Amino acid sequence: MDGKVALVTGGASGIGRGAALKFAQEGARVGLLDFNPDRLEAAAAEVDAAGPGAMALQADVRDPAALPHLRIRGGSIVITTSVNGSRMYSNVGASVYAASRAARLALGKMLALELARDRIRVNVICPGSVATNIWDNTWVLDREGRRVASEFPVVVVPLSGDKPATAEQIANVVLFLVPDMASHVTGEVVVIDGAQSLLKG
Amino acid sequence: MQPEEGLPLLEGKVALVTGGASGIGRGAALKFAQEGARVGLLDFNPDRLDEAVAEVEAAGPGAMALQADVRDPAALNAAVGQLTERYGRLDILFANAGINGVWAAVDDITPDEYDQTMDINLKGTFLSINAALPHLRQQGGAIVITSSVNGTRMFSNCGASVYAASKAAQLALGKMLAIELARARIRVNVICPGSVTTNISENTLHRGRQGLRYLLQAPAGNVPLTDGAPATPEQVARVVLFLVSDLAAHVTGEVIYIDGAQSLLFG
Repeated sequence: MDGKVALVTGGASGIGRGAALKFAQEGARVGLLDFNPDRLEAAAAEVDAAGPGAMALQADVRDPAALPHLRIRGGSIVITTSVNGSRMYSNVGASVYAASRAARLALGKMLALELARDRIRVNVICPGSVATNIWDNTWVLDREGRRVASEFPVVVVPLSGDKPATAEQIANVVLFLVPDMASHVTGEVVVIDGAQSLLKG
Repeated sequence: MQPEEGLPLLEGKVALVTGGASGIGRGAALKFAQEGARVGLLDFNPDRLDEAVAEVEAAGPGAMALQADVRDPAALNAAVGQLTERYGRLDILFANAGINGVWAAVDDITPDEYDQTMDINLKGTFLSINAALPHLRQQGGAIVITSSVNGTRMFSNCGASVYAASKAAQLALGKMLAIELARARIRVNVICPGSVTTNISENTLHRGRQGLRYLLQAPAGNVPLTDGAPATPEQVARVVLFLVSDLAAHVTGEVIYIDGAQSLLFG
């Protein structure tokens, strides 16, 4: 990724931080955007040390005025969605989350076609269980009684014997989608779940 | 396991590529070799095979020619035996051999023509996997199957019905095996290329399908990302490289389309 500049939203932790670090190691200058200032400085420092440059951008992705001006002339967009809402529908209670994820998937596919002419590729990743701190922004309220009773097999991530993916494993896939390895891949969805969603839908 | 910075992605690995003498298979074999793998190129067609092997051998630590028909389990087992005897192991299978076969009205396709397409594309994939599995099971590994946009996302190439059926079946086979083989730490993924510059048209027999088609001509710019230009085998090969490498260590049962948004434009 020599000479490239990348913007990672949600860059202060988890998958975003892992991807920012990976981009930097591959030679990109990276902007890490996050709402949470606490982790942001530490993440930007780590990414800065690993590559040619990194900057912290504190902003709320709901606020267009706060977002950096992007004018991509050819390039690549990767959207993080989830197995929830694309292949898995059994997490009762996560309906709004799953709907938001399904919407992002459709948005990505529509934009892949719309932006193809500008040589901007748009792809979507769907991670399964990943070791991140997303549980910090998850509120689970009284959903036990609503879950469809199913005794699920002990192993739910077949490939890793139940271990969730690491943020780095996800970042490696994002890295593949961003530079030239995937130069003819657009409008595509890559599920990274160690076959989890083939076992439990 | 994560890839180590700076090392070739397939250092120390041994790969088998069916349909390795030309097109996507040859491109992948070359890419594997450039990333440090020793590669067996298996093909039915001896003419191009030696030339492909020479090219792949010059690019990496070793390559060998394996002439075999993927419909013949004994020949496949012998080929895999030769490969593992020479290189000591097998980590990667790229089950890629395939033909377009006869594209014609369904009532004009003979049972033998049906069998030929299914036997090479589908049974050949099944037999290749079974020949490789005892060796892949030794340490885990990766299988990639070449399917197509036809039969999975595109259904408008009237006349290609048997081909499309074989490609859909390969996709289901790959997903089923992803779960079955996860325990053995063997990842199974599927690629679906759109138009690619290969010589597959040499093994395509178009027979009176003009009247069947709704679109006699594909819409202009039918590959949106490239204004209509097909993918190069190398662009497909890079995706295969990703899938067999540790970059995709947690990716299994997955399908990747390499079509520059072609199948989003028309189905």
